[in-house]
Amino acid sequence: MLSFRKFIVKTILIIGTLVILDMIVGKSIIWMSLHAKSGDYGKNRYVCFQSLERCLIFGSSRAHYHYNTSVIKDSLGLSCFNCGRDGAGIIQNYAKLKIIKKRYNPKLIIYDAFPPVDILTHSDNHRDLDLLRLYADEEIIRDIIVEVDNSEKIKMISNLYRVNGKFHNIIKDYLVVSQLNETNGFYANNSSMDYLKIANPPKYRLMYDSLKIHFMEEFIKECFPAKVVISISPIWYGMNQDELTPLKDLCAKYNVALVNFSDSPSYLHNDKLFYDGAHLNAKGANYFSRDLVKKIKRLK
Amino acid sequence: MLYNSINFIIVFPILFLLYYAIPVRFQKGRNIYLLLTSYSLYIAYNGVYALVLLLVTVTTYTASIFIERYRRKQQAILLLGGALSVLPLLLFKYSDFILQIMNDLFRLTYLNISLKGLNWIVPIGISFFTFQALSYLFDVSRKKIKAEYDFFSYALFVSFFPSIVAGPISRASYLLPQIKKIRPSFDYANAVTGLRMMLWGMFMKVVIADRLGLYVDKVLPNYVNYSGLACFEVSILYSIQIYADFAGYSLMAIGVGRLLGFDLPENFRRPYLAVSVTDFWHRWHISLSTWLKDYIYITMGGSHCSKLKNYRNILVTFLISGLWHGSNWTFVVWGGIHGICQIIEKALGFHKRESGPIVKWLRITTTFLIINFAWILFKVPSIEDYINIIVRIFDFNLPFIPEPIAMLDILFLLWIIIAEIAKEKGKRNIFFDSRIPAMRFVSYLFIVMMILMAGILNDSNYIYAVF
Repeated sequence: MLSFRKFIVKTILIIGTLVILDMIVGKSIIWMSLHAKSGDYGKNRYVCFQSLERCLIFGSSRAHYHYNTSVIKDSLGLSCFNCGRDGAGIIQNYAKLKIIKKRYNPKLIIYDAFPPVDILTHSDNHRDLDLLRLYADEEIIRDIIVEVDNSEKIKMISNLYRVNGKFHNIIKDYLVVSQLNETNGFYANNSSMDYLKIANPPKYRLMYDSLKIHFMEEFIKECFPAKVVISISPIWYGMNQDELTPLKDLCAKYNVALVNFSDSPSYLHNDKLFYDGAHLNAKGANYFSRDLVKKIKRLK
Repeated sequence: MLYNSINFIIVFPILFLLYYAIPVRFQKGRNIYLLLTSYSLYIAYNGVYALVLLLVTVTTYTASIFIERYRRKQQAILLLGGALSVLPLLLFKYSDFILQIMNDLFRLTYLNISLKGLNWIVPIGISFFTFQALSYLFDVSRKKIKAEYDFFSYALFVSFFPSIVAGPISRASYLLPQIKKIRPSFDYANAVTGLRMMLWGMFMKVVIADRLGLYVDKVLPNYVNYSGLACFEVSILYSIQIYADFAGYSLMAIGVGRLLGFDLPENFRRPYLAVSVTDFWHRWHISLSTWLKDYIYITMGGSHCSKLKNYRNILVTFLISGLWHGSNWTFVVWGGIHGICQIIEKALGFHKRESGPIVKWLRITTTFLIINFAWILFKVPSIEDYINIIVRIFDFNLPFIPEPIAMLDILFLLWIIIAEIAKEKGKRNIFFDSRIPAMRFVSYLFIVMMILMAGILNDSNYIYAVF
């Protein structure tokens, strides 16, 4: 009996210490992420809490590498920031937009949609929660996280869990002031085509993710009164146009412009403009950005 | 129940406290509690498939009693009891494979017949609890143990929740006496050891195995998009992933057993430090390899026969081992590779040779590479894909581009490698086994923090749980 009591007491002691450490260490790292000076977390901090640009571009890595903010700014006469982030899907982008809209209303919002991360069941929605957990002190963000996975309510009791998988990068981005090779969020990739990466085009199952489509609809609604453009940027492989059906329906429903370059002949299989099957290189991004603004100017 | 799930973290402390709330003098009550818990957890995971577990339990229980009572008809009873016990395993796990072979044969003979697969979900742990029950039946028939007449004790032996999902496969002679004896009210040292095992096992699973799985799942299914060097690099990560996943689970299972006062058998002993493939099988999934040795290999004659027959026995045993792991030709080939390597080692006397330190490390490296290349078969859907990956790895015309690995993962890899080598050399764990209580305390906290901060915490399944 005594030994059992001793075991329980020591276990409670360890758990108690862990709770305190969780609060101190976890909260400190979360604080660092909200005050990061550079890197990915510095950029996200800027996007969510400081940006005031008139034109914002959202999306995944395809947004990040495809939309040259200088070209867009010069052509449209609007200050522009590229909020694109590698692996970010519609859920993450919607959450960021919600935070931004608390501060101001941009004039133009461009969303680079890519079906595997924005519409289809291909990508795991939990990936999007990775960044959002850092901002879970905001009630709107917490609600979005719990809408994706109810068990996050319990898991996020731990502050250390909220920095899971990224604590080392957060600390680095807070302590080290490094210059990202970016221009207002746009990353110009000067690599040439990696032929290994296009050896076998990926095949995505045509299964729509109702949660993603729900958030896409919420994103479009949240954009107003800004002008919204849903953009499907070029892809070397080409795209199964059936994947875009829910997007086309949503754009028609809310009278939102859909600009589709995924089947544009000048980009399909054009090795000179891409560095892999899904991402334009710097030259390709410049061409595309110019083509895009021409189309945007023609929109009413 | 998956040990890396939030449900386990919430439910297990309650189960643990309730267990010890039952006074020691009500031993039977404690066992019934464990039995109800085991079945409740199985039902929560697999619903109606608990009936499969019950069927295997009742069949082997009844057959063993009949064997003991009617020794003259032992063979017939053993055959019937064994067949009935194995039937669910064959139906759920192998029916589609058998139908596929039949369809391939029909195609070869130009018969226009195509049989449809059953596509049934395999009850979790079926390979493990079936083998555990069968070992009891075989031991009773060989008079190694007496038949167990207490149905509840026997049912607990088969369904024991710490090990039902992915082992270790316990022998009745090892676990049943622990179930039936009066266990101490609470063993502090055992419980602390159990908790440490659970902690380290969880770390191996969610921090090492699941993090490495991110690279493996990115590269191996899409190997044509990656260089040969990347494929080779990731194959090594897969070898470590499968070890950390399975050994981590085993450690957690053994740890849970210890917390409840049970001693489950060791299942891994630094397998990648083996000096031969034969030695590897004395260190990897020890409970399965001893099962196969005792009930297949020795039954066929073992090494007490001519050399050729001995080699046949080795090959058959490992082909069965391959099939046990999965119903696909890739697993059969995997088993075949291991069998052939051991035959070669036996023929050349390698497995018995002692070596100096340099030769020993050469042997360890060679053995690891053989095992590593064989593991790729576990990750590919067909032998054709396996051959393509191997060809790719040795195609030196491809660009020499490795797959980038995060510094954090490299540090974790180094950590586990150093820990394994230190344990192999018999060194005490300077953190967990420190004589300074504060050092132990800090170690436990550090591991838990690493699990929370670096582990993949999305309730992922265990690789071996699908076997």
